[in-house]
Amino acid sequence: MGDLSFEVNEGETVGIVGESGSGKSVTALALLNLISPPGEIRAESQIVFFGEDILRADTKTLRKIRGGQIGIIFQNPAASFNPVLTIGSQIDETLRAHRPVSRNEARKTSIDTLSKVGLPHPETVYSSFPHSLSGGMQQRAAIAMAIVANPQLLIADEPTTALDVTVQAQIIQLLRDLTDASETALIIISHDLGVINQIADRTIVLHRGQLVEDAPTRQLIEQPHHPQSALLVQAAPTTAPKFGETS
Amino acid sequence: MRSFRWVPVTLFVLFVVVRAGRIGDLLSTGTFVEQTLVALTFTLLAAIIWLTITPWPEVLSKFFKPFDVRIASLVLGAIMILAVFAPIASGHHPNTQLDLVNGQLLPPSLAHPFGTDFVSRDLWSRVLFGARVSLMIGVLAVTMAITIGTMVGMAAGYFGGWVELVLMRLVDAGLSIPRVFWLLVIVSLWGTTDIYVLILIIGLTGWFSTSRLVRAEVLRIREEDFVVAARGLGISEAGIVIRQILPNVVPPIIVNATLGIGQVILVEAGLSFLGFGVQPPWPSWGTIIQDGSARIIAAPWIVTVPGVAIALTVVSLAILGDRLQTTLNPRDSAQF
Repeated sequence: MGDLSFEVNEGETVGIVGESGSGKSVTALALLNLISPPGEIRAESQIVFFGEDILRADTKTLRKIRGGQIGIIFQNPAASFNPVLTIGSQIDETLRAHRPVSRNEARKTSIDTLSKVGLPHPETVYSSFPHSLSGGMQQRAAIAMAIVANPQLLIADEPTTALDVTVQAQIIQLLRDLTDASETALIIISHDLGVINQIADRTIVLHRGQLVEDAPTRQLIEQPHHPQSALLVQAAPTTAPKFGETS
Repeated sequence: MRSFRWVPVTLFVLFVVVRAGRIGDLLSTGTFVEQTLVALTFTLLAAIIWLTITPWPEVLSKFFKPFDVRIASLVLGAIMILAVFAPIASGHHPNTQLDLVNGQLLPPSLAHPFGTDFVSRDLWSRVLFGARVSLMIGVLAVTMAITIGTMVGMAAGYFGGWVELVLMRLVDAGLSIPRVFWLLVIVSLWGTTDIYVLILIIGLTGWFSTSRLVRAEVLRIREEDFVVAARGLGISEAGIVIRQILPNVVPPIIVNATLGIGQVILVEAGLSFLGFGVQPPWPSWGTIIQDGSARIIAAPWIVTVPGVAIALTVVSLAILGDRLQTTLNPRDSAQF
């Protein structure tokens, strides 16, 4: 991947879009210093979060930022939960890693969060195992796990790609509600400009590991500057052609 | 309830520790209190296996569905109960020479269901008490082996680098020498073949393959998305090892242990047969076979009975281990 530089302001929703292999997910992992060898982030790089350089933070600070101040949601909700532990115990664990709460308080907060992400019967979900939930429910639970400690920034790496279209729309709506209700900033990563368009204030276009455009979403879609952005805009399905109309 | 899982586990560990100091007592007929304690060991062992598989309670009914699994559990259960209640069920002290004049090498009869041996000891009593020794050596040696194997395997798999290099070459070295040679060398260097020593050396030579298995599992699980997710959500490394990786390694370890107990019983029988195991006059299945081997033509029942007992136990354990392997796989049980 090449050089990449961008910023996200408090409460802002930024979309990162690009074709596959353009470095979207690597960017998400890099933001939390989760790149595993042989991959590496060049030594002179900087990722600054509220004045703290994530790449140079010690283990303890890093752990506090991960999950506590930056939450992350992964593409495949089934894989982001440990199959042998209940949903609830995993959300509790995340919360207790960041907030000094008792088991009972953690349980209560976790159940509250589960209902906040729109899961019916949060108590049942709390004591369920991941495999007994549907993909959409798993992704909601994953969002609950990411936001349980009230992070200031949420990173969603292709949060809807593994889901079908109707569920996709619900998850986008949920992310929008959550970020609107609080001062949480959101970085949403997708290959689908349609998804980005529904939620992001500003969009960054990646192409072969390079940032090629960084513009307000509306402007990007109406007047893309870079040829790659134009390609992506063309590729996104817009409204269906009217009956009888030929393209 | 889940958070109280550690209670039975701790009790069991404490109990084994306390018990291990007095394993010699197992060989005596003992008091009622002591029998209760032995019964408790097995109950707790069952409770631990139960608690380990609670995440999928449906599995339990599924587990016992196949016919061979039911037979195997019945056989193993019967052997365990008979072993635990040996002083009550046996009728004779296993070492008493009942009637040296007229009672030698008696064939099976109502008074002696399995006959008597060449010094007129009741074979039924000896086999029951032998079961205690053989099963106890099996359980404790395997517990030890899988504990060491799991720790080594987890360390090697998780930390990688030179830790892995050193540990795994050590394991390779251990595996390159046949286990019986290891055991014979250690036994002859040690001098005594006390039952504790026997458990210790069987345990110490049994962890190599477990550690390889655990390492392979850890290498696989370490790369799973949920481990990255946990790290991304700020869970500490220790938390990841204990909460994310260990529970996923437990199923293969349980399977490994089940099969391991059968193996250890065979190893102990082999050692005892060679005269390095449990020392006479105390019975283990291996020593009874050794006793009987000299009179295999005149009194074939002496070698047959413990031989069949060993075979039944090992086969039952293998069937159960096999079944555990299929049911404990989360991907399989997800289909239930």
